[in-house]
Amino acid sequence: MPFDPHRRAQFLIDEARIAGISHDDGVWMQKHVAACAECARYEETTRRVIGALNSFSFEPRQANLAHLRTARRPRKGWRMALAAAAVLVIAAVPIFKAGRDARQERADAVLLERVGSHVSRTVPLAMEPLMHPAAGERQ
Amino acid sequence: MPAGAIEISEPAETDAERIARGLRHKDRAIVNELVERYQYRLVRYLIYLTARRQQVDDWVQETWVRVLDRAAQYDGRSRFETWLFSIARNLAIDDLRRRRGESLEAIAAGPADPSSPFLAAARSEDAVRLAAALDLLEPVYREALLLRFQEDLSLQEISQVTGAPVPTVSSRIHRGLGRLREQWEGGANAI
Repeated sequence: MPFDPHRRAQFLIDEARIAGISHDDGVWMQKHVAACAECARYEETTRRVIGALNSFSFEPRQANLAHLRTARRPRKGWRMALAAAAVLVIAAVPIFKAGRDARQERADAVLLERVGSHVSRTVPLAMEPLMHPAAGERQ
Repeated sequence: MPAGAIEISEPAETDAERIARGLRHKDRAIVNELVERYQYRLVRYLIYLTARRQQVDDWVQETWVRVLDRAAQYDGRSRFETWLFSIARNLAIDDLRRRRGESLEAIAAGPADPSSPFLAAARSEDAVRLAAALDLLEPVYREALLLRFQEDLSLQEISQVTGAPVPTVSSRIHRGLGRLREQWEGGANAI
């Protein structure tokens, strides 16, 4: 493939901006560009294209920063809600147990009352002797 | 210190190390400083990468959330922006893939937004002229050009952000620059 000085110069024009080139290559390129209108135009176009890349302004929307500051709030709020629910459950357990015990006691009392009302307290005749122990036994 | 003793001072902490230490300790001041310093650059990077303006604010916000979540992973050995951009890149690509089944390669030439985000952001005649060319350029080329010429990252750093080998990065910049130049000259001929 024959040596093409324009091709080489144009590659070096780009490469100088992309990765850097050696001093010798830089000297050769400048000499060529100074003498070649086509490569000088190529260099000028490259310079303007790269310059134009810096002429855009993508302003972040103002709400962006405010959003960022609140970005974690839902997660934090969720965690807070979970923690509050846990505390509530822990606090509610003794209250629930106390209430359940009180209800149980009331139910037991009612049951005993009912049982008591149906039980006869009169002593059958056959058991009368047992109610009055013999005189000898008292001593 | 005894006479004649040589004082050995600690090497000065680099900016990246200071940021890494601040992130590890969840230092609020560092986080605020990072947001102030990198917010604009993050927005610009994501627009160059995707040619979209609508979703960028959500991606930016989520990127900062991930930075905080993964703060311990940044060791300060590389520049903060390379880590930040790689997080933003993965996030945006994953989101596009999930929502629309698109990959970065599939975000073909042509803007996804009906109005060009580049045209909207052009602040000079040259920028207006370049906006159409950027709309038509493939995302990987736009990204490489931005990272090299505006973010001033080295080829190795761009390789870290994109996950592409250094020769591929170099090739992308050469080709991207060539395409922009063609469009630029084509535009001039059209005028």
